[in-house]
Amino acid sequence: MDPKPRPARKLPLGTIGAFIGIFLALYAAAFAIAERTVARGQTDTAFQRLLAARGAQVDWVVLGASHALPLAFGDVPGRLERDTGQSMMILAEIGAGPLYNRFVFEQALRDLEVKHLLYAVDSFGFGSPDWNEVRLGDRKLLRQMPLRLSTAGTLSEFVLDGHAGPRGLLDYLTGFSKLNPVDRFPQEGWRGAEDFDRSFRPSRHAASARISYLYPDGAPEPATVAHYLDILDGLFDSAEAAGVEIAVVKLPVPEAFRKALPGEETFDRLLGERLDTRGIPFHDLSATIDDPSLYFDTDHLNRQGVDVLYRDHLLEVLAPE
Amino acid sequence: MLFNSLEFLLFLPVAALLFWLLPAGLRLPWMLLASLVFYGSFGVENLAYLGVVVVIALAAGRYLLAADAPYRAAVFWAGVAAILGLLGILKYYDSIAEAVPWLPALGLTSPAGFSFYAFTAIALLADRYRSPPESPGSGMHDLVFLAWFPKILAGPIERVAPFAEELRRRPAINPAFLSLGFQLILWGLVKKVVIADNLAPFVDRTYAIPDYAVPMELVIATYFFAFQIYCDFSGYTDIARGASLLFGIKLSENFRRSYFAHSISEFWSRRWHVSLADWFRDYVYYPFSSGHGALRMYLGLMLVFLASGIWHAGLGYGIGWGFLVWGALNGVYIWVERALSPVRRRIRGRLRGKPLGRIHTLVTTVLVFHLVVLSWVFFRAGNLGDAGTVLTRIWQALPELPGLLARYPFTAEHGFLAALIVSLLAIELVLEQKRLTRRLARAPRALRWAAWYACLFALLLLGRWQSEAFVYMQF
Repeated sequence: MDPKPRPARKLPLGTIGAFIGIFLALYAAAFAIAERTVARGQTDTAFQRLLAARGAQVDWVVLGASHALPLAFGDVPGRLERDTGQSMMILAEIGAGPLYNRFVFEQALRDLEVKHLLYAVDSFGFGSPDWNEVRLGDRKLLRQMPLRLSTAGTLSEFVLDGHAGPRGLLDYLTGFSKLNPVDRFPQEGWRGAEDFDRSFRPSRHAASARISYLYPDGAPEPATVAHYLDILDGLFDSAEAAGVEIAVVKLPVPEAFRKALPGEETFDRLLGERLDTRGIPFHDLSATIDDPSLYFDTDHLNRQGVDVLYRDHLLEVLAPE
Repeated sequence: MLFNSLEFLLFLPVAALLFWLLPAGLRLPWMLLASLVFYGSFGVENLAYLGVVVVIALAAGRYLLAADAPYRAAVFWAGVAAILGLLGILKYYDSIAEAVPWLPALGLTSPAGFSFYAFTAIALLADRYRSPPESPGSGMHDLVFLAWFPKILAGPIERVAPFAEELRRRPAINPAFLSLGFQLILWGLVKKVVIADNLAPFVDRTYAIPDYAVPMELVIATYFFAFQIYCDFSGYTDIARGASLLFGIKLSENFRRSYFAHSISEFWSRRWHVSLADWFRDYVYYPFSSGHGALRMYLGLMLVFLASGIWHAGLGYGIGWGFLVWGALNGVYIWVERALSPVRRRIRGRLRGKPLGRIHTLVTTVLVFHLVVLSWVFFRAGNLGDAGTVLTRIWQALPELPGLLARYPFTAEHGFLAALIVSLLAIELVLEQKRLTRRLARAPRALRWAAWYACLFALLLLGRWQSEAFVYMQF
């Protein structure tokens, strides 16, 4: 004989609705608090700096990866303003390839009146989705990205174009990473500004580990480089459409580090061809500072290094006589 | 599609909702389809492994239903041998090939949850072989029994008779069931995502190279691992039971606040991975020991724990001597406990109802917990060398432990993780008191909802949502 079937009962839909409603209200409150404390009111990331400077007129916007960040640590914007009266905003981001730079720049064009773009190019950013598509969904960056309709719109476009996954957009819209830090107890990592006054003792092992980290897939494939150069082209198209003048620069790295970079010559050639076609000036400063004591780690300039770069090379690019 | 992934949290309500919307006659096929989609999400090739086990179990199982079939014993043993043989080859072949030069490595991997549905299939064959009338079920029932997605990755290892009865009850929508299902899923997720996955990085860092860790770190990581594996595995089971209840199907309780056990035998038989313990009892221990005297009983107990150790070994752990020692150590615990049982009974009898009785219970609980923690060192270290390093360094530091404790630079991470463990123990202590739990169940709605919201926000704010796999999926 079959066992007695379980009796059916009506679901208390009103109670369920009330429970969900209260939950959503509590979530919205928590989101609002997290948005204020984590994402707004600080200037650690490019998007936070853009929100803080909304409506400003900026002579130079600097895009790129971490090699451009010492310019901010060494107050190059302040010195440029004092020396030439030109304003500068550093919108580079750690581990940012051209796709992430383009995402930032779309926001910059909405928020600022930009005259010039200085793009600090790094070959590693053109070699792997890790520094591009993956960065768009990086929870550490999403955590510090203020919730704005315009940013959500750009991110949605990137999702529709297949440049970003929907998970990142969902995270951004729900503020999940602001409520839930991905790295609650970070172990040792890049300390950036905190180490800026240090001088680095050259280490072949450290340089090799750093290069393996930057080039997870080895030397960038020419097809991959071409793909990300297309994305960079798109960024330049937006800039030119907005009347922004562009200069591309390759920032210094120590000689031993530079010589160990995989596929650098191929990258230089492919980049050079693109820039020539567009008539964009390219300033290769990568070999201008070889002294390792002018770096605070394997490949980032320290305070003295930034002084030398600014005085001897960059000022000429930013304010030609 | 791990239980702690966004995909699963979307898949589950959709699958359950469609289940309830479908006519009753289509619900079983829907359960099967949902199970195949779920299991296929870990790799379509996994379905082939499942298919092989299902074909063996179904063919032999249907045959064994006929009590007067002529070759029942042969079919039963052939079915068991085929399933165990496949399990053995997938788990151990490559490890053995590494040690035996003339054996070629085949690069085999055991698909997620393979041993759990292999054990389920063996249970089906054994129950049908012993008593066909008590283990009925149609072909579709058997298919769902073997492939049911909430339990396919890491159990509970169900028995065919109670499961078939659940299926035949023609589940009807029931708010109490749904509410209990959601509670179990929520509490399981809290255990897994908030506690186990937050403990995991500290344990992994410390156990990665035990030589580099200071003794205090090894002590802390060893305690943390005890709670990590408990929350990981029991959290999985809670989610599995909750997910199954959303379809009106009850699964067995596999964990019962394990670290409150008063004896090692209670720990293994009633509180930790109970369905596996029952499986070993019914299909290994009883056939080997039942009615054969004390010596066979002791040998049978050790056989069960060694078999459990062997089952954990293999795969990425190589031969896995650490698991064998873990099994053997637990076997020795049980031996000693059995040998001392007359003395223990006498002490318990004398202390019953007295204040000293409570202290005795507390002391035995703490002792059992520490014996289990000691055995976890062999489990976590994976190899005997690392386990030896951990235990030697802790042993050598024991005399100066109070000083080390005072000098150790505790961080916010330690505080946070310790707070999670204390909260877990406090909640489990409440759940352990049945009367208190019943009172809480009747508490005002505001209080109950506050508890739900606390769990939900613990998940949102404190959870580590990196979709860490469940530890036991690999076995």
